[in-house]
Amino acid sequence: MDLYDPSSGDQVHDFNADIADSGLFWTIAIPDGALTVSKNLKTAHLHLEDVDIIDSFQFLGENSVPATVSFDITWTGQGARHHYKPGSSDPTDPTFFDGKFREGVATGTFSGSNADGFSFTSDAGASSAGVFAELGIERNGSFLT
Amino acid sequence: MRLRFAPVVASVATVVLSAGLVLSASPAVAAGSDPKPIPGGFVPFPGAPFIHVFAPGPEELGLMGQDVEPNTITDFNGFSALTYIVGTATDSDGNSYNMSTDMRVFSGTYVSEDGSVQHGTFGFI
Repeated sequence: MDLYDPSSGDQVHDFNADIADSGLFWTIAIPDGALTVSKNLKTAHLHLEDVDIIDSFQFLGENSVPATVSFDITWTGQGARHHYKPGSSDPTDPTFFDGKFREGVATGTFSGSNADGFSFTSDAGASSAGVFAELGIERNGSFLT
Repeated sequence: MRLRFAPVVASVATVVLSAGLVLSASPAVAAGSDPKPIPGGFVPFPGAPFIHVFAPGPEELGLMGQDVEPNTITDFNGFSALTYIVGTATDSDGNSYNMSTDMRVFSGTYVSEDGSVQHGTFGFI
């Protein structure tokens, strides 16, 4: 979750899940019950509160402070499902996965605070409309063989 | 509004990227059973570390294209969702901000760091 000064356009906060020693990027375990997915895979809902992360202020910023965020996101798939087949046998290639995804729109509410005493809440209307959202199933790595 | 990766990605690959229940997140799996990162990724700007992530989405927005891996976990089989939600936000002093997010969730079976097959749900924040 990035916040930018609307006057200068400068990024002033970057709430993220940090990078694990393994290299796992901004990805943390969450309770299975936080995610609800419809049987037809057309909608998904993710709800989390008080997730312990960091605020690095800038993208990959060197300085960070502990932070927490809460959010609620709903994905609504639209249109046909696309089947993306592996475009390469190179494991480092961006197309090295097999996925069936439906594009759509997601809306959400977000809030957060950091150890410096800063806190924010998203305003109404936050959406991926005009940007991008997708949901579906996929397999990669050893599950491709 | 900015997309989280678009500015850096565009400069890097010159292309590529520019329940009602209240749940608290806590590590649900121990270190050895943690998932492994995808081998691929990119260096977002000179001097930055190689980051194991891609940015799927319309190339006209500075992203990598729709047929691009959204997951950060390798050896994975399951559900994935990604979205770039944008909007505005307000802090406790009443100051306004432009807000940009890259939020993802992965839930399924994966081969962990210790080689065991696990099931888990992960949030990309």
